[in-house]
Amino acid sequence: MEIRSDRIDYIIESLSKYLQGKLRALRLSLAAFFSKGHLLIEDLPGLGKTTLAIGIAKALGLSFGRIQCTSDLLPTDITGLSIYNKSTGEFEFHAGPIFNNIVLVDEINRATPKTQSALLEAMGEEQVTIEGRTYKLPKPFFVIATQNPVEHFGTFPLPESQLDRFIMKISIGYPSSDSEREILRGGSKREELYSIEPIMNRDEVLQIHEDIRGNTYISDRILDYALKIIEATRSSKYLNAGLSTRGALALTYTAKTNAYFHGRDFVIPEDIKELAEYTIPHRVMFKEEYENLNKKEIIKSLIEEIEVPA
Amino acid sequence: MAKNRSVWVKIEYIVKIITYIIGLIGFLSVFKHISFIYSAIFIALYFAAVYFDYKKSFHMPRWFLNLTALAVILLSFFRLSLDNLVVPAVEGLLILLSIKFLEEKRFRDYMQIYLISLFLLSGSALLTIDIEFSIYFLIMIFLLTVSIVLLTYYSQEPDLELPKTTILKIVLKSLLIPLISIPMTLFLFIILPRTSYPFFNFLNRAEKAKTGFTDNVRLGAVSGIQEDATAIFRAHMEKIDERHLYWRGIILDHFDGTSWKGTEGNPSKSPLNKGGQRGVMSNEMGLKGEKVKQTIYMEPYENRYLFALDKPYLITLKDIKKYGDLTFSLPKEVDKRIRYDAVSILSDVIFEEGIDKNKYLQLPENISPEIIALVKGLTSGKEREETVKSILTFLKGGNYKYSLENLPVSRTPLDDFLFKHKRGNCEYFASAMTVMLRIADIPARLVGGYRGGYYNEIGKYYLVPQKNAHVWVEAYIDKGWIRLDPTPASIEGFVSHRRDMLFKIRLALDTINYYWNAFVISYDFEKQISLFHKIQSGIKKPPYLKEIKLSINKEKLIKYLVVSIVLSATVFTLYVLAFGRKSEEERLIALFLKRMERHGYTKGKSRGLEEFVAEIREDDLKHETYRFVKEFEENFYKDRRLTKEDAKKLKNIIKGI
Repeated sequence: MEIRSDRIDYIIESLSKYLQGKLRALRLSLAAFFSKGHLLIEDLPGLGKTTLAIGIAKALGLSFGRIQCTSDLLPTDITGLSIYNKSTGEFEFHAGPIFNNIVLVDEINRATPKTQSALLEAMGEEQVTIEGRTYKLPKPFFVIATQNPVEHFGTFPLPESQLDRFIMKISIGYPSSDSEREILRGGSKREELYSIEPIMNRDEVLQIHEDIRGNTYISDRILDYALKIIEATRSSKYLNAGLSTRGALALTYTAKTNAYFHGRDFVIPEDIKELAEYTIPHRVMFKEEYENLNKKEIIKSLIEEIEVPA
Repeated sequence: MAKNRSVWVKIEYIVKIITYIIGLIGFLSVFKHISFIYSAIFIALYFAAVYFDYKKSFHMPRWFLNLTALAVILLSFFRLSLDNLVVPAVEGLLILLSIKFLEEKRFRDYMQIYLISLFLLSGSALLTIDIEFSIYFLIMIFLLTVSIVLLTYYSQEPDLELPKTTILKIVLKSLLIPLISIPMTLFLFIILPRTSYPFFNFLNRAEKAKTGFTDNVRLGAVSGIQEDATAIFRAHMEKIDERHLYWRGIILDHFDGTSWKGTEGNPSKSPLNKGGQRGVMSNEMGLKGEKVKQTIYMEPYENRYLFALDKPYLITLKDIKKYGDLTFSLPKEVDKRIRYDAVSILSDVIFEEGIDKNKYLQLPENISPEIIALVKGLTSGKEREETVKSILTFLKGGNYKYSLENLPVSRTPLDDFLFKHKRGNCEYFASAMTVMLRIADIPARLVGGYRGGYYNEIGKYYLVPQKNAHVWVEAYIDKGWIRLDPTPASIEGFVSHRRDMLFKIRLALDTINYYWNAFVISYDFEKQISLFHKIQSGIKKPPYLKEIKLSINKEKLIKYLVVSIVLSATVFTLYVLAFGRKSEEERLIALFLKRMERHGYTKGKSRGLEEFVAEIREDDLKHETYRFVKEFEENFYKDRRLTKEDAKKLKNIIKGI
């Protein structure tokens, strides 16, 4: 197996001029993408989520779709629907925006639960069923959902069980003042981004997917380490519920991707530790009295208690 | 690294060199005594080990060496016998030593090599002691001290390098340790309870006890004995009247003018019972009187006669011979401390019929006419008993003085004693009396043994010292032997009524000796050896032959022994397989972390190695540690077993950090 971590680095470097100050978010997004998971970005509007999604799609040479959620959004607005064609006398299926490789679902918490679950089902099954017919979604399939943490009126926050379906939850945050000055000077680069040449193609992306999932070695020592972390979340005094098995899988999948990104074909404890604050907090339920604490810090402190294999 | 490499030396090299020298000294010390083939094997393996160590290329697998060592031990075990104990043991040890050298050496292996070398040196001391031994001994003691000190450093940090000057300082300081310890050793030597007899003498039959009692009495020649206050035996018994304290040992009946001997015919006076029987009984002597039981702890001396209170009729000991004259002997010298039970009857007379009168009337050819004239003058026309009395009175009456000094030593000691010096020890008095009795036609003989003793109230035993050696006379009157003691001042000289504090303390202190002896003798090494032999023969002969009828206990013992050997070998092998290898990574990482601590970086338990390295500020250090971490993780997190080369490479990186 050839580890093409340099290609990943190249993508990040190429996109860096369009995404000033969002490199960490970019890297994490790519990690989620290559872990075959879906990403939830919780952030205020206007910090460049869409730009990030478009950038990833363009650089990887993949198709891009966007869904802006509102409370009157219907499931068929996402999946698509069959429309009667007068000339042929048949119903024709018009694919919705979800039939793209990379789908940005903006402000997912504005959509009604019904629409949300249609979307989440599509994410989990990688297929949609409309009027009795099943349509496979394209491969790779990657959803970047965003939600606004501040606005609560007229929103339907995702329940924990649904949050578990996202492999990572990140936030972009405000850019540094230097980056922001650059942005102000140059203006939005969104238009330019649409016209960049792809760096990878679909086949290459699928190959990397395959390498990460299948050919990156994870030792029993690491699995033991991961199990200790899982056990710690389940027995922690801060938490009502610890990691699910799906959450445990997320730990190892993202760890493999992280190892690959670092040019390794085997996992080390740091691969898990580094991503723990993005993979764990949204999956566990904090006790009410700790809800207001910094959840990332609590998870970090849990992990700091656990001995590494070496 | 800004070290000046030229003056830095690796501790491991020095330890290795010293270890090889120590092994060589062990070998040289026994080299002369062992068979050529063992020397050849040792030399071959030794140089092979040196070569492998030098090349660092190859180490025999431990399990193989351990099995070989086990085989060597078993082989040596079968070659052991009581007569040939040291040489097979030494040869076995030598092979074990060479096997140890072949192993990949860790701390405990070094220590084992030192121990085996020391054993070899002690083994050589059992074979001979000459000046070479002390040279080897001194060299070894100094080398061992230095090496153990260096080894302590080595065990902390196998790759430790120190500047030459530091090493020199360590060596010099460790040399001081044996020097300082010598006076300490002397001090311990004095205050520790001593055995007056070397513990392991049974291993070395060439050396014999020097002091003591002889089976011939040469007039004036052995006065030294009577100055010797060391104990010959301790008799555990009730306190009795001092008059009875005659400890019978040997009969002397042939006088050649200067010395007394037991005649050739003496032992042939047909032992009453066949020898070799435990407990020799005699009651046909018609002994009458109080029975006294004694348990005697006897020191080794250069003869084979056993002592017991006069007149003994039973001594319980293996292989003992009893003679008609109520003396007892062993087939060989009493060359170690022994313990036996004796029963004596405090009888005045030993009845015996049909004695060989010629033997007990024998006189030296050159007997001087003066003595004959003297006897004639004393005894003419007297009855037998009168004769005896007059001779006794003549000697005891006061004309003759008891003395241990200026004894007449000449070709005619009796004449000198009787007519010239008129002083002498018991030998002179008893000899004179016996000769005079014989001249007067009364059969007489000399009895050698001990007189008196100090009763220790605490331990309830008589302490009989060498200087109490005594000779008295038995005369045959009216079908019985009667004890006569012509030596004046006998009781005062031998029993000692001294009651001063110093003496009491000494006697009390001797109680410790007594119990110590009692304890040591109950541990009978020979019994252990004979048990070994039974086991040996049990293993050698197939059990279905039923030739040997071992009791159940011994059979069980063999089974247990075999099972435990097999079991311990298995456990040992499993241990080596399970823990010996698994720890390699752990040892490396521990080594690495220790090295990092010296640079001021301590890894928390929950920190990953890469996180840890990322914190390092110095670029050089960071680079080197990163190299190690990369290399290590490549094996560790891919579950690869570390090969020798990998381990070596990693160690080298650590060394460079």
